[in-house]
Amino acid sequence: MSIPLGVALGLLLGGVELVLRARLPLAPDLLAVAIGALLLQSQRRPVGGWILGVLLGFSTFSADPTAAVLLGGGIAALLLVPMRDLVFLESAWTQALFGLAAAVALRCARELYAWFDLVPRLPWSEASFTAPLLSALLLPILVRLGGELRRMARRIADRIDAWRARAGRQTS
Amino acid sequence: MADGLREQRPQRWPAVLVLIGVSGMVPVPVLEHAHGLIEAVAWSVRGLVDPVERTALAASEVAAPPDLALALDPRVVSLLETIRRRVLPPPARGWQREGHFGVVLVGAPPVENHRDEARELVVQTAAPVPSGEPAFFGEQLIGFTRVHADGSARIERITRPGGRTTACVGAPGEREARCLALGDGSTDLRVAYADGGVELREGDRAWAVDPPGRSGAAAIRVVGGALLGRLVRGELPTGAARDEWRIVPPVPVESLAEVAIRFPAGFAPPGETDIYPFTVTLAPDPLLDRRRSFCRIDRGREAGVLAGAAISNGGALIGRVERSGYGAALVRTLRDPGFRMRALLLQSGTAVAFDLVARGDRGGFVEIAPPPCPGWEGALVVTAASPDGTPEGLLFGALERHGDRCELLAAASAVGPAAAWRLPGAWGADR
Repeated sequence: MSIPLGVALGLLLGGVELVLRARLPLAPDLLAVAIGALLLQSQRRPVGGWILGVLLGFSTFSADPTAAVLLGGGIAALLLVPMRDLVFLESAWTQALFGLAAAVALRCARELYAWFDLVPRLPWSEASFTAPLLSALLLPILVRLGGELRRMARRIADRIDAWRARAGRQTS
Repeated sequence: MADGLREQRPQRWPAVLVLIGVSGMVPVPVLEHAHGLIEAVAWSVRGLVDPVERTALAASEVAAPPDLALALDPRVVSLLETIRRRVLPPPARGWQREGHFGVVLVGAPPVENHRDEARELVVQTAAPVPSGEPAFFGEQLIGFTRVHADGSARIERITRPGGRTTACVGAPGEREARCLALGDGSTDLRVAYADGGVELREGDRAWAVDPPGRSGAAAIRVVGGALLGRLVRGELPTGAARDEWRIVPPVPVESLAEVAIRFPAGFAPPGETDIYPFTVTLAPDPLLDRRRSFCRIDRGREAGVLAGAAISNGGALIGRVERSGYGAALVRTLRDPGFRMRALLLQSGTAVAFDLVARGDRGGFVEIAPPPCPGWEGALVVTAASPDGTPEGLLFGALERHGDRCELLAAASAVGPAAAWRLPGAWGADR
């Protein structure tokens, strides 16, 4: 079930990035942000299916072969999965590093394909540098925001439970 | 407990992802097909769920005029016919027998087989080529086809070392001497065993003679009467007791880009493959990278549009289908950097085949790698026929020189209605 949900998430992220790039001069690499965010999850959660789905969904917004996008995701995961045991995942610097590493891994995979003439070599543009940096900047912010939202949701759920218990006592 | 076990288990999925990614670089048909299938499925899913794309296509459909010229540009067709008329032998000669002649592109053998250059020409077509059939340029006999075990076809030149052609030299109907025209690897033929008692003169005509058939069998005209060239006196050491005569072909074989081959019944000549155009609607670039040039059409596999199919507008090429899913296909346009397609350069009555490689859009022009022949300035470039779904004669545009750069003034614009070219298949021509 995680792969279809991942595909849907990838399509959503691709659409959002398409809109961002059409409206703004600079935009982050949202695929790198998603991979980084998924790899920052606890090891108890199975994220492989999610990442495969996100890569498949997002690849439909890329002119490069799907295999090149999968290779980029694979390189990022190969680097970052063992790193989860070595670094403090709650640190904002670590989170920024995960976002940057994922963006660079995706770029490396594309360059590898270009080296074998499987995709055209493209000139480096401003976006080639700004997108990974923006991804690195965005990932800690999103992780904090997600944590805060989760905490808020838990607090609301607790209040609802307390309200139900009080209402139950009053009716009895 | 289960979570604890999962945490201790080695994570293999990153390596699997890398393996899948690396397999995309391996040129094995099975893997290529599998990756194409994955892309098609993902592309189809996007077409089904993406409301932005559906809106864009609907907007283009409203803007599309009701009728659209699907056919090839008649001026290009006429130009190609004029060029081909020089290549095809006259039908009155009867060499086509029960088959018919088709024009194929030829080129020199690959660089690593340089020694074969004097022996053969490589036939550059994906269509099946019959073996042992004569190849002509107009009335001039060039050689005979030979198909290798790997399916590649060559034309063995009559001038190759060891080549023997039964011939006649002299003035037809007045002075005729039977002889053998022998190849020695040079550009001309040596006259050997000529009949005695017939005077040979410089400039005399040399023509091929069909070898005698079995007694009682019907005489078949294969190459009888085909022009080999004109006689010139060869060089011999001083004091030699005999004359040396050589046959010089009227058109040097090295300069030829196209020849005519006889295709027996059952063989379809290239350029005559049945490819049908039908109307599609183009929508703007649906991809993230603004440096690339892609567009999208509203038909896909369900309509028989597969990867490789050409997309044109009024006889001018827009691009080629890169990915095809259900209900939509992604088209790589001519302006995309790295776009590559087989093309014909039409200049001064000849067609030269080359690989057109686009380097990117330069504000109205498309910069391309210069064609490997001189005098390309101002020449027209059209598509060469391809079995993937490209007809011959779709116009790329005209070439211009800007400093050191070769620029193509593209004829088509990638907006509005267009024609997709598809091969006849399981979907049939009724849809």
